[in-house]
Amino acid sequence: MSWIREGELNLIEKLSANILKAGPMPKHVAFIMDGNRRYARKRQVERQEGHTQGFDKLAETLRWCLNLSIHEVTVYAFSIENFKRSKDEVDGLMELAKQKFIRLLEEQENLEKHGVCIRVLGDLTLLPLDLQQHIARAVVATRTYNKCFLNVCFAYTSRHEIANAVREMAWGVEQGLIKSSDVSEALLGQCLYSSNSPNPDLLIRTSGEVRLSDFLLWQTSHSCLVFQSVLWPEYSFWNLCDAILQYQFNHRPLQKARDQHREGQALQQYEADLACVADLLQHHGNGKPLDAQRRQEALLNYTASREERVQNFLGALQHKRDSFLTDLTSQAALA
Amino acid sequence: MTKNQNSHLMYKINTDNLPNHLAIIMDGNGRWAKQKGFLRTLGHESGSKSVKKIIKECSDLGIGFLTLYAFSTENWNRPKLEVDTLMRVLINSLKKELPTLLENNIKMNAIGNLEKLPKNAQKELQDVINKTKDNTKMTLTLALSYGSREEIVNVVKIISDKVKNNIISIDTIDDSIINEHLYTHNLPDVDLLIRTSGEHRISNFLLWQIAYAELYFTDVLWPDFKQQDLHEAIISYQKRERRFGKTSEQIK
Repeated sequence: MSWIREGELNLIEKLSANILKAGPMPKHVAFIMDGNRRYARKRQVERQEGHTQGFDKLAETLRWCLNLSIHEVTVYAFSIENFKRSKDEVDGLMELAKQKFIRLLEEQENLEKHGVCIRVLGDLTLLPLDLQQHIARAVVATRTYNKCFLNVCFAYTSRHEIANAVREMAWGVEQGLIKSSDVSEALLGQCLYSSNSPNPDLLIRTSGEVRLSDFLLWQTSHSCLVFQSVLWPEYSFWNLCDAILQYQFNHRPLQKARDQHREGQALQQYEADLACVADLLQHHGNGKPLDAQRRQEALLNYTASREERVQNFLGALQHKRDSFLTDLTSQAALA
Repeated sequence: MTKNQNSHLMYKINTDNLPNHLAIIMDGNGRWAKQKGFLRTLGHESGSKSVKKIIKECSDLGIGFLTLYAFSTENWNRPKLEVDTLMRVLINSLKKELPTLLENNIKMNAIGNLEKLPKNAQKELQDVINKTKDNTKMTLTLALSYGSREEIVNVVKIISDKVKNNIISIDTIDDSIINEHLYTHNLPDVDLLIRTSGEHRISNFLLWQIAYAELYFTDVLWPDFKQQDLHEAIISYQKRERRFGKTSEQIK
């Protein structure tokens, strides 16, 4: 089954979509697609069939999101913790993933037509090599498409993602690319696997569980959380509308909380820069206090140099990630 | 609410399956005050009464760790009068409740950027922490001047400096190293997070520590949150199947 479902909404769905779109809409929705196995048990089919139907539902949901002008979707497809499941199930999921990424490459023209950029977030080194290669090819092939974005969290946990970001920043400090005083919330966010995406506005979890299960813990700090009891393969357009309505209902206090947090961050960064400048002047100054204008100049210079250091570091990080993917695609080509 | 109603819910609670670490986002003081036509500051005074009741109830039930989101990093930006009131309520509560903590064998702990608190609040807090440090029944942690992202950024700075000074190597940085450097390093992960007042978000509280916590959202405003509401949350928690990434069959 295809990654991209063609098709428009029917009349009633279109009407509802237009009503919803009159209010504030989430730009980025994250899904914990829970319930495939319970669905399989309920329908008395093989567990693997539950996962296959789960994938089909993903394609359908992506279509609805596009119809609703939601241009970024992140999904929790496979957690690192899921490796603890039976070998049969894990192998089955790896095989399903492999087929889907191969299929994705076959559909590249269609993806280009719709401008769908696929990203895979997670520790790909934990996956079988052939799957890594297929993923790398798919990600590289759709890298420049920019009408909508599908982020698939695979071999992912949020803690693993944060630990990885910590290692990257520690590497940056060790290499002298950044100072430890450059480390900030903004910088950490840019070292996560999700660095190219804004934080999700709305997180939806299906199947009735009310927990985050180590998914996007950092990124969803100020997201609207919606928990629905429907099993993922049974998810409907109306379930999605219901979740969006809840987002709209909570929108104002959420937006206020986010704005406050952002302002707090900007102030904190400013104060941190001030403190660094004061420290520098104390150590390198000639003892005479500077006038206000000179202090302001020193602050501007410091901020500019910090931003340059950070950009260079992020550039080096991006280069590392791109090389990893390119190496995989070269290996795949040689194979 | 009568004592009978309270007892009725109590019998439904399975004391073998209590959340070991319960965390609460005590939201709704301001809204409560507005609904009643009071000043916000009175909402915080009223909220502190709920705090006292819930601490006692958690301790009586046998919960090992209770963490309360008392004051966030964002709260510093509130109007000065409100911030001063919150600090005053904090200091008075600490002074007043020390005997209760001692009687109930409760250990006081605090997490957050505590140096930002006014000196008298820091002093009072440290005094209570010192006097209760040998208590063992329940650890009560107040999150004060706390922001989870700030906590994690702080960990990054500490770890980066340790790497630079060859105290630890980059390869060893994993979940457990990060955990060791959090303010909560001596607390277990959160099992149940309750948020009052109907908001469905986490708002920068224990983001790392709640990875596998059950979440419970209630519309009840914090000053109205009573023992019965706590029991309902715990009963809901006890009905849930916690799988930590495994399947139902695997955890049986």
